Amino acid sequence: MINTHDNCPRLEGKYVTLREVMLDDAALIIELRTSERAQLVLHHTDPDVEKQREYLRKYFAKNDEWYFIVEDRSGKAIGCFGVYGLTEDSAVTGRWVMRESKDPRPAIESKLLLSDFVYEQLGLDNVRTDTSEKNVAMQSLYRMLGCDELYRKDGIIYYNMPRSTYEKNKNKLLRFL
Amino acid sequence: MTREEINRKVVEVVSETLALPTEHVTMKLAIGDIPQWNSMANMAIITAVEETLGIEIPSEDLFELTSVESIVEEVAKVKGL
Repeated sequence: MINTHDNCPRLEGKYVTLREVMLDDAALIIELRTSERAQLVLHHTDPDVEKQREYLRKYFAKNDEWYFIVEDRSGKAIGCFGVYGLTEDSAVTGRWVMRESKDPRPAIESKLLLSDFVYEQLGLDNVRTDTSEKNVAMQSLYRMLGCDELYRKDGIIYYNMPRSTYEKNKNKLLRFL
Repeated sequence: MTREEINRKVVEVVSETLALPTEHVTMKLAIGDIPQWNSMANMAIITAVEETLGIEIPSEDLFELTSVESIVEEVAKVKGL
């Protein structure tokens, strides 16, 4: 499957919908990525909206990446999440930022919808991901899901989750929905 | 299992999950008190407590467990103590 940007699916859940990013989401992405909490664990994001729009234009020129905005049931944008780094049998899920919330369900469902997209719709067998060594909460989530830690470099921890591990541990997330 | 053992096990799980020294894990410590204890980490804590103590917390109680004390109380309830 390639992303022609006419065929990018909407990933619909009970709590959230993931729809493809638009150029007009540039300011939103900057807002999400430059929040005080996000800055602790993400790479630096230039706050220039025009540069972010340029980044998105480059995204739309590619056909092997999927960049989604996470919306709640009212249509309010509450996060972003992407798939990139395609290989023959794997892809990276990342660029994941959610607005801080006491309710974990939108984040859980986002993770499940995007993982299902990679395994089922893209037909890949491995989801790779990474997080900052400072992001203890995300590390705890990946441990809970049984992700394999591959290596650490420059303060980043790299993981892989084979399809079999995901299928075995998916219920650990589903029970919280 | 005694109440003291439950306290100790829950403190150990919270400490390990949040990468926090055990002496900093008080009964009053709760979600949001420190940056690493957010809603996602809370889910990981609850799952790790269940796996460590061999219990299953009822689904209807999952979102009530937001502090060390409430988790200890829930484990004691499930264990019938």
